Amino acid sequence: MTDDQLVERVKNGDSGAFEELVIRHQKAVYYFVLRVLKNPLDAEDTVQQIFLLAFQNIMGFRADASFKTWLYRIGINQCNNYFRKSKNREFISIDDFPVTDVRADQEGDLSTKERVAHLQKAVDRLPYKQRMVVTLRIYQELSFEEIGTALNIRANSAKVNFHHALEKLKNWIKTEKR
Amino acid sequence: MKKVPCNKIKKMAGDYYQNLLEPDRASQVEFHLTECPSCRKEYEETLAVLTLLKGDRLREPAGEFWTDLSSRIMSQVRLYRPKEKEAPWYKKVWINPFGWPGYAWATALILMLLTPVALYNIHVQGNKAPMVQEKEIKGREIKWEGESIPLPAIVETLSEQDSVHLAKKVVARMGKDLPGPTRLLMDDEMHWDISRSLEELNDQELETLMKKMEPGGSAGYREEEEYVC
Repeated sequence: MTDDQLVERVKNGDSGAFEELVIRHQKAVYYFVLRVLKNPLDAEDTVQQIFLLAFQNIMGFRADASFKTWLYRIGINQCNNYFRKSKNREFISIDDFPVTDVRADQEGDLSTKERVAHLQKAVDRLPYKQRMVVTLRIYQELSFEEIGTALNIRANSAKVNFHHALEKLKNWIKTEKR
Repeated sequence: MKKVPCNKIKKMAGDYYQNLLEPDRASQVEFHLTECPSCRKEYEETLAVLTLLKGDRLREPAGEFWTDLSSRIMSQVRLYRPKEKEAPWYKKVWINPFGWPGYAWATALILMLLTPVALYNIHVQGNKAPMVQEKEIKGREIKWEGESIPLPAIVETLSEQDSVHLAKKVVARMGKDLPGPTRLLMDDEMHWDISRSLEELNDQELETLMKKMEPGGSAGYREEEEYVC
């Protein structure tokens, strides 16, 4: 059954259909939120909030965008709310929650891990929109049209933001190597 | 293959990295990269960044994490009860005790406003006195109904003097010679506004009127008396 068919069933009162949607999309949504928030505990709470909001507003969902894209849109809004609320929160280092698992050969382990870690710091320093576009494009593998819908920008603007982000990351790596 | 300049290749490079180019254009980029060291270097740098980014994978949570997460989500979903929306002001009990919809109240209000106006108009029209013209000729008062009564019938209510005036007016209207000294009656010498009605009569009606004017008729005048207009 497609997502749209499940959504129709949910609109008709079938909560079991919504559970199927949760099972299908929770992993992708969780990883996305985790990459943005960097905190697994907060990411879990946020994911629960995202799906609850999706359920509460399911009657307003129109099939002009996919359900997955709509979830990402809710997720981006919730992440924005999180950052607005957590301005005074104590910073929790990502080292406290090792979430990455870089696969590399033994010799290059340290070097590759370091390079990945440095690159991630560079991604975190990107302007917000570029960071979102890179995350959604590289890790969530959304198309530029879907990214545009999720971020409420045009697909072409998403593409431009992505290429600018890549240029910045390339320059940053060149600077690091020196 | 046709040579493509570097600036055009750079514009296409972004889509090339993302596998978004059509096959023939992708071939152009690939061919150019084999021949242009500068563009080749830039391509490799970009590829390196993309490879590093994609290599950053998140650790898979342990145990029953996903099952627990979906259970927690569904338990919140099942507890959810939509809030009853507050009724709009026009549906509040103290304003709308019968719970009528807005359009029903609007219709009732319009009817309430129009009904007295309609009743008033009917009452006024019904009691309206017909136009009465009071004419006084030599101390006598003549009253008759207004324009609603046909002319020949009115004639029978006229005094003798009024009949003379009317007869002369009718004859003038019919273009006949008047017997005896006379002069053309002017409308303002008529003591009533029948002169206006006279203009609307056709020949047959005028003939009928003349018959009533004839001596012995219901409104006729006596020939032996001369009436000076």
